[in-house]
Amino acid sequence: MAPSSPHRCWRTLPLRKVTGICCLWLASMTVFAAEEMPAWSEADAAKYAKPGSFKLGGDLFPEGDLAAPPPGAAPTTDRVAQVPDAPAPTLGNDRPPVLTMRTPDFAPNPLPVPEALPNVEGELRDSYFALRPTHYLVDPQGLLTEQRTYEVQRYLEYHAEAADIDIYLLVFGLNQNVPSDISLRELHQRWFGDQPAVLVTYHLDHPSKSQIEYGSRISQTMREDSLRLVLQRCLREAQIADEPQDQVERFTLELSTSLADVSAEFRRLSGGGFPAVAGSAPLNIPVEGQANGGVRAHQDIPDPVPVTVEVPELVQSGRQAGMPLLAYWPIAAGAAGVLGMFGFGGLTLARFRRRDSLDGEPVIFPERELPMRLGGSYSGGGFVSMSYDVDHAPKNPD
Amino acid sequence: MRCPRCSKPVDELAETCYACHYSIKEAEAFFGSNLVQMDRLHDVAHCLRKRDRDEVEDILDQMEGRFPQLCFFTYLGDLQSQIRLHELGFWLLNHVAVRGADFSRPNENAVLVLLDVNSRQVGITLGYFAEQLLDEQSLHACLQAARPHFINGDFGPGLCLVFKKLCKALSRKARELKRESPRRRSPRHGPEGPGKVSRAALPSQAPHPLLAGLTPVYSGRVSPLS
Repeated sequence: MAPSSPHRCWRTLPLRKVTGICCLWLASMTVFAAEEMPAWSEADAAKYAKPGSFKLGGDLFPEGDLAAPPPGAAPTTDRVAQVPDAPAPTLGNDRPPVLTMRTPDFAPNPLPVPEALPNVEGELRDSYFALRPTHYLVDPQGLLTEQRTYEVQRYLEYHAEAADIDIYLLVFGLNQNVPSDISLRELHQRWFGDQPAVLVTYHLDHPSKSQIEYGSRISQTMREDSLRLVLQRCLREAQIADEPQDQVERFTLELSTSLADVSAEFRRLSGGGFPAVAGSAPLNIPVEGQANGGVRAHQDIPDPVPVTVEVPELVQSGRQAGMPLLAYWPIAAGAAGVLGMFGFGGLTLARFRRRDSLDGEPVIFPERELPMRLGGSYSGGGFVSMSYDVDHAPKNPD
Repeated sequence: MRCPRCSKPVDELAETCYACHYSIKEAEAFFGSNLVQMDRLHDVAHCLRKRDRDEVEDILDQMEGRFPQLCFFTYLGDLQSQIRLHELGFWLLNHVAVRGADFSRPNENAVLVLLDVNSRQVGITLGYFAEQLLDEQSLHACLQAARPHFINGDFGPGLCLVFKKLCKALSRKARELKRESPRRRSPRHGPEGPGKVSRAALPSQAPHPLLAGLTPVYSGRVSPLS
């Protein structure tokens, strides 16, 4: 309906007037109906100014010293920490503020102070440096937790599968040092030769002592500052974490990521790739007495046996022509044939099962002359019966 | 073929059994000469529950759809000791009119499954036409397969299994006849031979109602089955 409709005017205008008059009347009543409110006297103020005389009642505000424990309650060892910014008591209430925060008397067990680890010498030295590692993570002292060892080991294995440069991580303690007569460059050359691998000595809880040895080939090809930058990035990433165990993981992840850049840079500078050396991966053969890693003698590592596979000429020609589908057409044809046979067998089996099923197509038998016997018009008594009593074994009609 | 009373072999066209002289007249003298009516699933013994009855009815529907010439009846009785299951089946197929049965399916095309909960016997009686399709070995195999169900009192599943086995036996027989039909062209075979036909062609093969020879008239002496 339109606002200018006369039908609306004669209904809405009186209502507005009445509403306005009512509002004015209520406002005037409010103004003129103000009564005198009670006020505090001097006696009341003196009465409630005494300490402890302001009683609110109830259990929320018991009488007496609120800070003291209730009678009969067991002494508690909780410490009551006073909140420094607690509001001051008002209206003469000079009791100590009740807005306190109870903190449990819980002191976490201090972490055990690690004993001083032995120097890397003797048998421990041999476990680190005598032989080529069989695992990517070498932690013969068990400095890492079992779970962290598993995670780092799995990640290093994954990295070795996906990346060009493998990582061999040697974990040392905080106060342990790599023997001075050990040269990581020589060690790398002796263990890996020209294989793409980096040898990392990581000091738990002191990652800044870590060293990364890339080998002579990468070190000669790459710029020294770029390799140093990798170490700095790893250290910066490791120091984000507080826990030494987490630092190892962060260090490893960052090193894995940075090595991808190193690998790409190396390819660009050298104009080629890394040599594909068979058997560069560790053997992953557990050594007795070393749960987290170990070493294995060079002479124990079997040399890779070259496997010669005769490739058909057609496959070779297809590979050379860059047509993988054409190269593997015999395999594809064989697979298609097998699938076809399975499909045909399934259809045959389904048809075979359906031919005797109840929902098959109707069957019409040929009509024949039906000789009668024993005087029966429709049946001559052809009958087969069987007892289903347990005591009676069924008899075969023949 | 065997005599319903003495189970001795009986030749075709024999008026009476050579051994015991049993014939339909003796059966009528015992059971009555009247025609009786029964349902397709006649449970006098009340040993089937609703669920079992529905399942058996479904199986019977499927059987009649698969074999349009044949009819399948079931009689579950609580028979007296003097009534023998063989003789009852012989008499019943010659004197029964099934309610709602198709006239195109005379009793000579019937397969009647009988079960007596008193004597704990189960049997199958065949009409003349069904006799040529099912041999004793097949019928025995059908009953043998369902015997564990009957022993446990699971009459519904047992009857379903019997009819499924009958379906397999009839299908196998149809394939045998189909393989033999090109080689053996004899006057005894039908003009078309065995084979599968469409359901739309079935009504044209229905004979005249009078040819069925069954009238649901209840006359004569009272049958002990009623």
